[in-house]
Amino acid sequence: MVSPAVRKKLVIAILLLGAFAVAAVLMQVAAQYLTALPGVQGTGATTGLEEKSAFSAADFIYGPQSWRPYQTRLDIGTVAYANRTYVLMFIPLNGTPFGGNPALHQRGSVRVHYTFENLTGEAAFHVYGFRQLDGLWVTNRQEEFGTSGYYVIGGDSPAGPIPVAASHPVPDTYTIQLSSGLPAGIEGIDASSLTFHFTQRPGSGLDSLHITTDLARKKGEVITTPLQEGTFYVTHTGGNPIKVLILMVAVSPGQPDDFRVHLASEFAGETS
Amino acid sequence: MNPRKPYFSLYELSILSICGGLIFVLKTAFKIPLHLPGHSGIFWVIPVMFAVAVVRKPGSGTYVGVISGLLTAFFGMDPLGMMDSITYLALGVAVDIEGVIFRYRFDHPAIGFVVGASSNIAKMLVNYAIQLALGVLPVFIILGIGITSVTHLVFGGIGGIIAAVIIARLMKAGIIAGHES
Repeated sequence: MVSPAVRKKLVIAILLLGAFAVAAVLMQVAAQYLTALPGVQGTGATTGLEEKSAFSAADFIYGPQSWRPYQTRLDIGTVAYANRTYVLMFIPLNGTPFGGNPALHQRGSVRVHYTFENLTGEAAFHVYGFRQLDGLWVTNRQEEFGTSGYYVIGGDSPAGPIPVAASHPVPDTYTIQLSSGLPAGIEGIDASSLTFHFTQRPGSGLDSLHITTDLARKKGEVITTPLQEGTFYVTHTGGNPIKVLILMVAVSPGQPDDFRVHLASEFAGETS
Repeated sequence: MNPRKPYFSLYELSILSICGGLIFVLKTAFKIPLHLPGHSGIFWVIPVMFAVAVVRKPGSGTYVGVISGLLTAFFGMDPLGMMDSITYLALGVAVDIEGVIFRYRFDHPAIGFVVGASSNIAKMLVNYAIQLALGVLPVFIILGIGITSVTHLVFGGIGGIIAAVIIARLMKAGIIAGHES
């Protein structure tokens, strides 16, 4: 037994804890209602890519370069072709993939459909996700166990070499410009100066986002295909929710004037 | 001239240091795949409450928090490095304050629940404050604070109850000193 004075404090403490939890839940519900961020309800029903779904060579504003942002630079190409150079663009996808505990929320992936017109050389897809809880970015793993990525083989070699003066690599600050607007409802992010911040723990942030064509293989795979039209999925197996999903598209430099890539994305359920 | 008596005896410092190290060991050894924020509170509140229940001096929880925070930071267990040691300091301070408020009656399950839950929440709040200071947008924190608060409360509370049961058993067996009747 405890003394009456301690018992009184105990009751007050339990009431305070309960009030804090209720207030926090109400705050979250209100914030979700007011902001309606993509993926919060598990639908991902936003209109980001619909603002712009066809991209030409002029939209690939970075490069030529062989690397992409992470705490240490990652190769864009596969291990066998790590030195290949590409020009890059970054675009936001509709919806966000959800991993984690199925008892708490719907799990699901983001389906990406692409169509290339007159692609020469090679194209590569990689993804970046903004983690809600710590504000850091994650990406798909490039090397060692658990790699994933998507590569499309195009026609003959692209046109001649790009002059050095045209080089515009991703800055060392990793502050990038998007080639399409952010999905509606994402408040407080300046799309004109989106900056990737990564955890400084070596190797961290590479094992939660994956690219796959088979949802039974959620941890992803490296796919190389000659198909100029296809579909792949971005999956999530981490516990920290992803709130913004960015697709990095890389193509060989020197694409022809009539080169186009059409992209569409949407939230897909776990078994879609 | 008599030498000044230290605030913590050698025995007390040993208990506090071992418990501080135990938090680090538990965090390293137990990887529970729950994917719920704050779930580690189910085991790390036990050493802190045990240490404070044995030593029964203000500052004992803070000492345990400093030791565990430094160990975690130096071994790179958490992504924010040295900043994470502040979160462990916060949990130690929270247990210290509640030890004084509840007169170190950590053998009572209800008090154990309150102390475990509130110290886990204190750690969460300090973690959020650090993230805000590092530039994370408030909207991203608010969008997760509801579920996160509830899971921190539940897991910290369960850990606190387990600690209370252990402390009560040890007191009953006469291994550690009981509360003043």
